[in-house]
Amino acid sequence: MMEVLVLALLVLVTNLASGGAVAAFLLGRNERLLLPAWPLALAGFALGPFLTTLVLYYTLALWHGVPVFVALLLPLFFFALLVRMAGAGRGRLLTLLVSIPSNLKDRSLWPFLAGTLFLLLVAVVFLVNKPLVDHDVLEYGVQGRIFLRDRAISYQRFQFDAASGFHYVGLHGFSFPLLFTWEGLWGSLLGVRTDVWVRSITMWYGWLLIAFCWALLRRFDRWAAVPAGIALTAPIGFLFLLTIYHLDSFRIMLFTCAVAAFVAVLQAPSRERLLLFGALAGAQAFVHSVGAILAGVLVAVLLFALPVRWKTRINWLAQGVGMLLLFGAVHYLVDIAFGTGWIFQDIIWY
Amino acid sequence: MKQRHIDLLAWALLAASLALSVVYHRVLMPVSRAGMDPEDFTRGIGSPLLLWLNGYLGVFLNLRHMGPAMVLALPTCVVALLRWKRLAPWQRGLLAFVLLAVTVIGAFGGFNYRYAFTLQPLFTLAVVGIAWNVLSPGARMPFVVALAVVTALNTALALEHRQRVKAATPGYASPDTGEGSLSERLNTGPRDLEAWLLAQGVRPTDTVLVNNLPIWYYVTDRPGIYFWCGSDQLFLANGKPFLFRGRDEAQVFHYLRDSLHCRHVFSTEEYDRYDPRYQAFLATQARLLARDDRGHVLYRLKDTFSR
Repeated sequence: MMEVLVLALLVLVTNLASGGAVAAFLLGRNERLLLPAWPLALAGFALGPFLTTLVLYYTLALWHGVPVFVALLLPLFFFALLVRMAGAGRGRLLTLLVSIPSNLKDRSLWPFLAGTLFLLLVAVVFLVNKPLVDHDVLEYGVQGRIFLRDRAISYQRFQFDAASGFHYVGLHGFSFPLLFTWEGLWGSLLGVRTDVWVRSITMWYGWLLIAFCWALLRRFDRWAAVPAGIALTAPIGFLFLLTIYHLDSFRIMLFTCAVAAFVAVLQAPSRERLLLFGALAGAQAFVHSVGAILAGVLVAVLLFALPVRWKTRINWLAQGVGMLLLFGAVHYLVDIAFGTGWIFQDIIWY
Repeated sequence: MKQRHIDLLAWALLAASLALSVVYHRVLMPVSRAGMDPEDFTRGIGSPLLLWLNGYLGVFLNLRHMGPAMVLALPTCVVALLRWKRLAPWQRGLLAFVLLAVTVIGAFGGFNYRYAFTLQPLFTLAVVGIAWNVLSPGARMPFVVALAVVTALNTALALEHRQRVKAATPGYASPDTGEGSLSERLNTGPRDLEAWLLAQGVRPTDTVLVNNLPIWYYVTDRPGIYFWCGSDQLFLANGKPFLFRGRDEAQVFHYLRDSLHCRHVFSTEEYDRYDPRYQAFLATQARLLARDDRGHVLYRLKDTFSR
């Protein structure tokens, strides 16, 4: 019962309220961004849990042994600040959400709705029947709980936990393990040890990814989005993406948003779009090393392809790279300089 | 090129991707290891041809996990490259990124389909978007519907291939091919690891060699020495040294017992098969204490009297 309470609380606070805060903030800047509202709002919802982990990352890295209530409250203060800064975005988000029932009169959305309900059913079945048993996600879980126990993130040549003998061999940013830390903080407050919310994150980001792609596909044709949505979701890899607890749906959703922002920057360059791109590229980088490498590729392409004068290009890109680092890519620089060496260590691939 | 020819080419490519899917699943993909390295077989890269198909070019051609939209992205990239000068600046930028991303993923992450899958939503959006823009109005919707149908057929072929692999490969296990209730198929972890260990006489303070099973650290507070026999690496405080390389069995035994103060090994039957030296060591220097119904095994190093 307490597990269900933690799940409900975290979905409400982190997925919906925090995600909604970012969505409102982005929509509040859409006079300059000039992006389609639904994909932008969905990118905002995707950034909600991510930014929670980012605030937690800076907190635990800079304040070792931070009290539980401070670690819990800082992300919430951050999102409250975003809501306050959202301005007109609050009303725009509300208008979007209120329009959902009337939009559902459009029959081309019914397959999406049916798919959503089916995914919800699958999520319930899996959350009830499948505990955390797969290899990679367990490693992230163990590391996240070590962060929770120590309430500290430190960089060392080998991420080794002397108390248990666990050696974290992951090369990736700490965003995903910090989801475990976040749930653990709430669990410690409520006196329960659970991972049900982190397990649900796989399906949540899977659904966000489908919704984001669906919203873009509808721009070609609202009915074409139906078979295109099937082509997107029917491969076995996508079925695994939705049902195997892992960070893949988390990183691929953020990566797809980053590439969409990259295209938007190239289509109509502006400083605001470049900052949004930097934020999304940094986010997906902080989740996974592949994202970090691809973020570098995206920036390199922008350096040569951005259709503005060189001086402006360098100026904007410097700011974009600043956002990229701030949104988590800085982890890799610190890890190279003071930690494991990231991909520049001696790695045996298996 | 005339519009009729563009439509025809698109349909021909889709038909070719369906034909490739059939050949891929029915001819090219093996159903048993047959001398392949177990890890390579699992990853679908156990021969030079498969290494190219599912590895280096896996972003486009790994039909076990991805759909024909990825296959169609390959000729799309080639055509776009040939028409480079006629592309809009944003299309050039996107194409340049895609080509670089495919190179990076193919070169470094081709062994793992999950990395190739990073581009799946992007490629699906791009293929549908390009089809919508270049096909004649009457051909657009039928083409996208056909793409969905071919994707579903490819998935059916992939599932059928998994069933054949299961029939031909002892020890192969996955939720979609397993037996028993859904809960049994989805929950492959030890039932109650702590109680199981106590029942086998492993004290809470005993250090155990943990063969790549992080669940040890997740559900118990017991000390472990992390190890992966597949790469022969110990993961210690000050590095990742090899266990067997440069040591004979007796030296490994003494190193574990005297230097690492470790007398137990926790593993699975499946993982044990990844390294013959490790398997031989367990056979001669350790005694099987317990095996649970989900394939987890617990060994104890033999004592001075080989008990």
